[in-house]
Amino acid sequence: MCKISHRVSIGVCALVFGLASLHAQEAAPKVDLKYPFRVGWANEHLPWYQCKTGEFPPHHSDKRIGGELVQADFVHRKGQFRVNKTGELMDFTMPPYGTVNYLNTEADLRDIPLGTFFLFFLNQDPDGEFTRLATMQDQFTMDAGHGFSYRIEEVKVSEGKLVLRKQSPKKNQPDLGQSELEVSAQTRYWKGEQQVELNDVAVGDVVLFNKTGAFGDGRGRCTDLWIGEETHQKVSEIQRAKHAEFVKFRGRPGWVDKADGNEVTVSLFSGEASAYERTYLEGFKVGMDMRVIVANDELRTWHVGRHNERAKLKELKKTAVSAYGTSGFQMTFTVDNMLEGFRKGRVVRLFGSEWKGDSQPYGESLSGYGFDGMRTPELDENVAKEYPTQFPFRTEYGNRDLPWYQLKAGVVPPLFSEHVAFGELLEVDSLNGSGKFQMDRTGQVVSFELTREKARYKVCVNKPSTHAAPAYFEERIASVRYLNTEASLSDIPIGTRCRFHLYQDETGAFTRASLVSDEFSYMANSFLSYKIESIDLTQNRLTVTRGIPEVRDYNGDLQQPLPVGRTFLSLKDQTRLWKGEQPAKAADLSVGDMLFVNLSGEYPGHPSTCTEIWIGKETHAQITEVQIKKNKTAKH
Amino acid sequence: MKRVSLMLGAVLSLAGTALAEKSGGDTAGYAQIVKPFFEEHCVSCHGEKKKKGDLRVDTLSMNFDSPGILGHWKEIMDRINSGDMPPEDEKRPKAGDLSKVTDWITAQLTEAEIALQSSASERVSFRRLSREEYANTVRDLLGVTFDVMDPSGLPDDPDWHGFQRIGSVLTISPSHVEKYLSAAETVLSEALCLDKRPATELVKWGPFDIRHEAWSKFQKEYEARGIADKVRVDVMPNNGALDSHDLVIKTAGDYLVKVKLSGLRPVGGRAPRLRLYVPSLGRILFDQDIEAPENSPLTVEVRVHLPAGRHRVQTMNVTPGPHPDSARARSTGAPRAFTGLNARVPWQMKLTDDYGNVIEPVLLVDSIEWSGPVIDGWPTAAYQRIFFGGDKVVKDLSYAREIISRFAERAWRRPLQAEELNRLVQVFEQAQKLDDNFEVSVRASLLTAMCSKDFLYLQEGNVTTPTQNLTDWELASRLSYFFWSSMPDQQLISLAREGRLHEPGTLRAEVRRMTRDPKAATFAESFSREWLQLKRVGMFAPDGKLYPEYDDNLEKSMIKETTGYVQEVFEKNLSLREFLQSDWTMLNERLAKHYEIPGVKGDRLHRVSLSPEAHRGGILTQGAILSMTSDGTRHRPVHRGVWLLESIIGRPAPPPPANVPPIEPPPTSAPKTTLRAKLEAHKQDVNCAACHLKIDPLGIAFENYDAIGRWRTEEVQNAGVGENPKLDPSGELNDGRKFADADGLKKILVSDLDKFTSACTEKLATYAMRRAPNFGDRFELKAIAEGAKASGYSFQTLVEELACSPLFQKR
Repeated sequence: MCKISHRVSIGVCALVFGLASLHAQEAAPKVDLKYPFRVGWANEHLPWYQCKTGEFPPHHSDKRIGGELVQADFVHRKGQFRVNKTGELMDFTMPPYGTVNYLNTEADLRDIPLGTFFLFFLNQDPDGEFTRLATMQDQFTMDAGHGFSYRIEEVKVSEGKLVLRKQSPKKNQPDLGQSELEVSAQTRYWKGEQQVELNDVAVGDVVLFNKTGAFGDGRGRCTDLWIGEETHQKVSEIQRAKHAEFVKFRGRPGWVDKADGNEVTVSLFSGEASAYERTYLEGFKVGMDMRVIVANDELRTWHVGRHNERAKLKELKKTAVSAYGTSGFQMTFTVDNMLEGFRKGRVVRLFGSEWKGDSQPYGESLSGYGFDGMRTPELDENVAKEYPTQFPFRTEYGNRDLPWYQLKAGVVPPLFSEHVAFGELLEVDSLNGSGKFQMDRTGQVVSFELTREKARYKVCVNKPSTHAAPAYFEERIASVRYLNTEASLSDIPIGTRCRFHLYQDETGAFTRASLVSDEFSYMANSFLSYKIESIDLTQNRLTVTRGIPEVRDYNGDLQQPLPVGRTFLSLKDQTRLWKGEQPAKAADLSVGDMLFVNLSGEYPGHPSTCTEIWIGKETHAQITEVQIKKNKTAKH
Repeated sequence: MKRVSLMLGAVLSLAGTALAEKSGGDTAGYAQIVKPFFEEHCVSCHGEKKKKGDLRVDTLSMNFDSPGILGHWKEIMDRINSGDMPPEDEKRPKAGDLSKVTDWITAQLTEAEIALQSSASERVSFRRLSREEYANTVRDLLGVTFDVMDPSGLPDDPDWHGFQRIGSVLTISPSHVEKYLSAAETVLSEALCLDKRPATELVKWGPFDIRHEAWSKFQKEYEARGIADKVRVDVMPNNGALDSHDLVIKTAGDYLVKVKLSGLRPVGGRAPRLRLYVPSLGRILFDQDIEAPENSPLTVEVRVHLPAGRHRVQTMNVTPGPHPDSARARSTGAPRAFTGLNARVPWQMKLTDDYGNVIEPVLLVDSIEWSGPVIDGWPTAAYQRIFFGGDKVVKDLSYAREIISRFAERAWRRPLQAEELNRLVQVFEQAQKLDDNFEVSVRASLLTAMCSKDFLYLQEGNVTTPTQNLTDWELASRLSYFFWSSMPDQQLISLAREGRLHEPGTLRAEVRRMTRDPKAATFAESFSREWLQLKRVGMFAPDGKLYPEYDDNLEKSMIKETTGYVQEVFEKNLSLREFLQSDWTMLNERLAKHYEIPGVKGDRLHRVSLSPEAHRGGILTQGAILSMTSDGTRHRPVHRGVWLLESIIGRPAPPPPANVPPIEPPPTSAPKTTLRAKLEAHKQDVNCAACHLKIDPLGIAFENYDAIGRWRTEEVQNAGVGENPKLDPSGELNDGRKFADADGLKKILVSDLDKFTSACTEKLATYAMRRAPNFGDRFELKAIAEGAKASGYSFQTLVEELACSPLFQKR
């Protein structure tokens, strides 16, 4: 046990935890004195571990939930998964040390195919919800990490099933039970680096696999099957190298343990401590010059080129690996200037000899100049999150101990003062500026009334594809926005999921809406759109990336920024599709199409689906124009 | 060698060869000192038989009244000093003989120079007001501040051995004339204010104004959030002039500046220092350490005089500190303004440690307010004084004549002759013809009076009846410019008019009254600056890399220590001995930190007791003196010795010969050695030894003080190998007296207190009489010094004895 990595030990414990849970149902509450908090198998009388700034959560401090990844926000390091069996949609946020384990190594959310089953290791957030992701592991990792693999005993092509026998060669356990694995037309088969066919799978092959989530009474289907132990090694190596390149370009993340005088001590993050030294510390020697740059909790740096600080490595030492996210390495370095971000608990990124001072991919930096300037309010530095003390009221991003902003007659409320809620519009009274909506997830029906003062919102007024000048934002004031235009409540079709900026009424209930807007408006205003990555009409599902349009770089050349997220979009029979002003069909959709969508609400048993889809750039412009004309006509 | 000989001969032949009788000064000693030297070392080549270079030294003229002859003797001294003469192949003179000859020549040259300053040969002597005196005079005459140091002010005054009030040195140039005219127009305009009463304006700069568009774009958002009033300007140390703002002054005058701010001092560190600087005027409006917690700002106020116009005002924190780029130094460019230490941008300089302790001295400015012009009364006091008749008086020629007469008498510090008054009144009449109104016409006459030589110069003497003694009017001015650096007040004028001022009892009473007057602080300040040549402090700015802690504040604090020290000795009437040795000094926090003396807080000077471990006491070991006699890189024992000879011992060293090579730093491969060791070479060279035997020991005594006056026991050397060498401050004076260190030398000087008293008396007399005392003054000087000795060498008594002495009333 002591020779295997901590990740493996976590996995083993996960299994133990599963078994222990079964026993717990039968026996008296168990106590495990090793842990001063509640764990999955004992200590129910204790609270769950509460995350602390600057402290890696100890192993087993989490609650583990299995489910299928359905949405990933790469930049903000958060996402959603659907819980196995129930299909309940759950949100997760990755703290700075949070990691993704995929293919028995570390990965980024960008690397993960949506629809893959993971075991999510979650700590509680301040609301008591299990949303803070310590790590997540796919089936491949859980099996490979424990030394398990599967031997093919039968290939049932007609039934779409493989009969497997679980084994542990390392422990000389050839038979750990038989099981069936469902395959589908979407299942991918891999041998070495080559994608092969089901026909290439043979009895006796040693395989590892990933699978989808399992909902209702169904079982997870195989998404990928890796054939042969060499393949297993290879895919892990490839993924490890890919992630190392990703990390080194952005800097090795860690948080500050101590900052004193001109010395800073940092504990480095990793999801695979056993490989950290050889992967990330090659060439690091005491006395070497380094660069360090401050980052936020999302590991986003400000401007790498301008805000980095020169450092000299003073000490590199090993530390215990008994918690999630730690690499087991701590660095102490001296800096020329002590920066505010060199403060216990804050995140920094470190660069070694490979430092090139490159700009980070568009959309990832928190601040930029010229070409790097963020034009999307969603990706721009969130001042309410980064500087909560500059807000004398509670916001969605901080100041939980302060009251919410209270509306003042005749005063347009400031940015970030709103409580944001999502829900499906149920009814409207345009004349009185009121209506009802059904809150996402909970299904609670909320009556709302538009405020006279309306709302501020930020909009970038220069187009990224035509200007290399710094992004210029303007503040606009509106009450209702639909299809990226100012609108009235009646313009929004009933059943459309909207974003509500809410304020408290006299009773403290959030019923005063300063802004109601649809998904289309939000995306268009943020210079964001969806792009089809894959289409699965058998499941009425599109996999789309969320991205920014092309931008011009300093040379005036158009560059396509990397996607900033990935999500599923579900279709249903009632979904209306538009290409230009003409209706379209699902069959008209192609990979690469740019989409704007509106959605229905998300409720238990009723996942959100697209109500309308607008296909292509031109369509988006046209539909907005049409809406503007409609508004003018209505006014006249 | 022949070439040099020829050159010397050529120079001297121009002087003529007739041996003239000395016409001034003391040439005693020529026969005993110089003649034997010439005969032994010079006459064989430059005598009757040989006239190399067409020179005969045995017939050399001693007419030192002639500037040409002065130059030739100086040339001879330089040749001897530099070793050019006698030639190398001739017998070398003894060091002692060389020293005596150069001393003799130096004495003749000095005496001759002093004689040139003397007004004895002039019927009327003119002593121009220094610019400091001009400003003070204008203040007392019209109640107006004139900023003489501004670019629109007056040119700097040249000095003679530190004294900036020597008549023969203070010449006047065409640019002076223009400046005087402009100055008079400015001060009269502001003093009389003949236009309508200027409105008092209030200009308030908040943080959004000070940081301009970098922050103003956030103003609405911050107002909506309700935190606009929390925004403050964060000013990092050592960050130059990042924050500047234009101030438009419509009306020249005094303005009240109020700055509301916090100043955060790091634990054990220095407080931030606020400076308001106007580059276009070259003027610091405000300069002070600020210490106030973040949540408890204070308001500092200063009254400043500002000329009309647009002035860029820089708000600076001049405390030394890291010098990061501007983006890191302040909250701007980032998407927010500063509202508190807990809301800083993470890539900017860290201001507090993880426990909340301040780690950088930072200023947090809430507002800067300008209000003015401050009008103390309306019409102005100057208007009411000048137009003394009030509103109901008949504004005719006779009234104008009376106004002009009264004003000119005060301005010129004497009654006017009828003809003089007529000329001024004519200006009024001309203006009237040009349809100027009464007041404007009068102002034209006053302007003329202020541009007259009678205002700009202190005149002594009478064309028609030459005299060596001052009149009472002249005495009034001498007294007032001695003690106050300004014009006589009404009491002095009254006594002068009555002809009683020179009466011994009256004079002594007046001297004592003037000494007690707050304006007498000017005497201690001004005299100490000139006597000790403090103008030289900072002239060679210490190298920033070698002495990073040296800053403007330290330099000013050093000067303040010395001037404050002299003032303390003066006000408390302490002994002159205190100048040489004491167990106290005057320190503010900045200088105390530099001296590593704990317990002193704030910018203001405090009298601080010194323990022997402090290695201070007296003026010789004060930072100003020690840094002034260094070259910015290292201490200079020779400079220190020369200064001591000149300012303390009163026997200026001969000027150095030309082309003396500097002392080179040791090669990097050579062992480190002290500067003193290198100076030892002087002793080996007879020509150098002549002077350096007298100079060097005086400087070497202060080896324990580095180039910025810090105490040390070893000499830090960047070049060379091995340990830094230990310092040896011991030495031996020319007369054989030995000392171990600076304290030892101080004791020797104290034991010669009479000599120091004589030197100090001469310096005071130079300051008072605006000329160096000459040979003929020596008995009176001695009597004055004796008077002080009888009172226990008290400084104030010495000053009083001088002011009441017959010498003081001589031209």
